[in-house]
Amino acid sequence: MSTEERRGRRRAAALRLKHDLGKYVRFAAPARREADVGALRARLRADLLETRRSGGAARSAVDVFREWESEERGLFDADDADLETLARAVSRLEELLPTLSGLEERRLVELDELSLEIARRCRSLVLRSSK
Amino acid sequence: MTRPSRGPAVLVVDDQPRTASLLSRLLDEVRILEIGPGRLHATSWREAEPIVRSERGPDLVVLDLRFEIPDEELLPDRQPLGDSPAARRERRDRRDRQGLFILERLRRLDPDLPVVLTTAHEEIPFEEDALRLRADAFTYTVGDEETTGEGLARLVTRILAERHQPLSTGRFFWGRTPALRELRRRIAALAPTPLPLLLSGPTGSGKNHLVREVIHPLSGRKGPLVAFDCATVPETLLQAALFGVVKGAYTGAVADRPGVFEAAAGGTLFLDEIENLTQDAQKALLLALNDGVFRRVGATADTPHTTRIVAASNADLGRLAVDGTLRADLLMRLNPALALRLPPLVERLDDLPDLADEVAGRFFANPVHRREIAAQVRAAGAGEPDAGDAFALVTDEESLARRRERVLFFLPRKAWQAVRKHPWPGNVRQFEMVLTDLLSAALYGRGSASLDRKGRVLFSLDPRLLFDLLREARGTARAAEEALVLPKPKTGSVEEYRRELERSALRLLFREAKGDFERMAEIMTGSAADHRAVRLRFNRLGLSAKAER
Repeated sequence: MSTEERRGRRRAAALRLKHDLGKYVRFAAPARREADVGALRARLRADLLETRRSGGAARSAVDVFREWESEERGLFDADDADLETLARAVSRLEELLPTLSGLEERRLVELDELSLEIARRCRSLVLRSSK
Repeated sequence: MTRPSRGPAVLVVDDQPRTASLLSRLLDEVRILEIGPGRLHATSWREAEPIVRSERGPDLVVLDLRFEIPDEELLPDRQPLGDSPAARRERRDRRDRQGLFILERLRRLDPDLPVVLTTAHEEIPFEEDALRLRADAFTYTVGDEETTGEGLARLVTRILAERHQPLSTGRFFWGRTPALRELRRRIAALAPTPLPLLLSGPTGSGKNHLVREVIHPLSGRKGPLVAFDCATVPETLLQAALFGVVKGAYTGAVADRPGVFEAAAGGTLFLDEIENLTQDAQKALLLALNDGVFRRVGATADTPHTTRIVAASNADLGRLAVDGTLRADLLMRLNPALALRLPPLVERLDDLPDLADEVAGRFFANPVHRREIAAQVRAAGAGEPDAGDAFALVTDEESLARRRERVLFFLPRKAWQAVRKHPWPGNVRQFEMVLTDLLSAALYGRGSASLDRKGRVLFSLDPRLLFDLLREARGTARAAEEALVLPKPKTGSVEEYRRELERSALRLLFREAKGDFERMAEIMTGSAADHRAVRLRFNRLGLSAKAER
C-alpha cells in the first residue's frame, strides 16, 4: 500500500470511528450534566450501553470500539496517543457499565467524563489523520 | 405522546433509530414523519423515496452520512457486491458515503428541500464531494455545537424558522425565491453590525422599503432613519445638505444648519442614488467612513459622527468607478463584496402569485375599499357581509371553482399569463401599481360585481385594462430609455457641458441605430458613407461601442 493510500485509509477509519463512537457516546448529552441522578443514569445507558443498533440488537460503546479496533487499529502507529487513551477509557467503561443500574453518583460522573474524553479523542484522531 | 398533526414535517434518513427518537422528544412543534407503524426513520433511499415523493412530503430532511446497511439497499445500484477484497473495499466506500448518494437522488426530486447532513463539513470523505456541498445552498452540515441531539434539534428549529418566515416584513416583500432567502439571511447577519452597507437593484425593486422596514429596525440603532436622495439636491447644495453649514460660510448661510449626517446621529443615513454625489461630497463621505468624522461647510474643525451609512444605487458602480465618476476608494469602503443585491422582478416570477396576494391583501384591508365592497355585496343581493369576511384574488378558472370565500376578485388565466410574460421594468413597485389599479377599477367600475351560482360575489378584473396598463408600462420604460438625458453640470465649464451633451446625444443615436455606425451616419448626415467620422467622434468622446452594447 502506498503512503498516500495508507493515509487515505487512516483518515477514512478515523472518520468511521468518530461517526460510530465519538458522535453517539455524547448524542443524548445535554449542554450541562444532569443534576438528577436518574436522568444522568438514563442518558448514560442510552449513549454508552445502547450506543448503536445492528439488526435490532443494541451494541455498547465497548462493542463498537472493539469491533473497530479489530479491523482498523493496524493502520495507526502502535503508540498512537489518542488511540491509547481511547483504549484505556473504553477499558474503564467495560469495568463500570455492567453495574450501571446501581452505580453511585460519582461513578456516573466518571462515566460522563469518560464519554467526553472518548468524543474528544475521536475528534483529535480525525484532525491528525487529515493532515 | 401526542404528535402535532400540523406544523412542519421532518424526515429522518439514518440507519440508526436514535436520531429520530431524540428529535421526536426534543421538537414539540415538529412532525417526525412515520415510515411505518411506530417507525420514525428511513434506513435507506428505498424507504425514503416514497415519502419524499408523496404529496405531503417533508419540509426538511435530516440525513446521516454513513449507513451500515445491506448491499441490496446501498446506492448507487443496490446490487450484491460479493466478498472479494475489492468488494469489501467498495462496500465500505459506499457505506461511508451513502448519505451523499442519497442526497444526490433527493436533489433530483427537490433542488431546494433543506437537508441537514449530520456530519461536519471538514469530515466529508472526498474533496470533490465537499466542494459540491459548499455550492449547495440548501444543504447544511453540523458545527461543533450541533453534534449532540440537542444541538441538532436547535439547528433543525433554526432552519425551519428561516424557511417559514413571513413573506413580507412591513412593505418589503421577500417571497420564496432562493435569492431573496439568501438575501434575508445575509441581512440578518449584516444589519446589526456597524458596517456600511451597499444596496444594488433596479428601480422599483424595493430598496427603500428594505432599509426602512428591515435594515434599520434590525440594526437596533436608537437614532432615526434619515433617507436622502442624492439626485434631488442641486450639486452646489449637496455638501451643505449632507454635512450642514456654519453661519456665514457662503452668501445665504444666515445661520448654522445641521445636515442629514447629524440628523441621523445614532441611527441610519440612507443615501439613495449615491452615484450622483459630487467629487467633493464623495471625498467628504469617504472621510466620514474612514475616520468617523465630518465637517460642516465653512467649519474649521472636524466633528465625530455616530451615523451608520447605507448606500444604494441602480447604476453599475463598478463601471462608474472605472470611468472616474465614482471614486474607487469610496466604492471599496462601501464593501462591494458584501453588496446586497435586489433582483429585478423578472428574476422572481415564481413570487408573482404571493406578491399578488400581498398587494390584494393590502387593498382589501383598506377600510374605504372594505366599505365599498360591503355596499356592492349588498347591492348584488348577497346579504350583509360579516366583519370577518375574507376576500381573495383568484387568477385562474380552476382555483375559482374551488375557492370558498364569499367575495372574489377574478382575473382570467390568459390575462395572468400576460402578467408573467411582462418584463416589469418598474419591478415590484410597478406591479403593485398595476394590480392596485386593476382592483380599483373592478371595485369602483360599474357593473363588474355579479352573483354566481354558489352565492359568491365576483368582481371581474378587466383583462383589456390590464393589457392597456402593461402596454403603457412598456412604453414608459422605452421612452425613459430613449430620452435624451441632459447631463448635470459638474465642472461649470461650457466646453465640458457641451461635450457631455454630445456624448448623451451620440449614445441615444447609438441605441436607436442598434449599434450600427452606418445607420447613425445616415440619421445624422443623410449618408452612411460618413460612418467612419461618426465612429471616430464616438471614440474621441470616450465612448465605447462594446460598453454601450
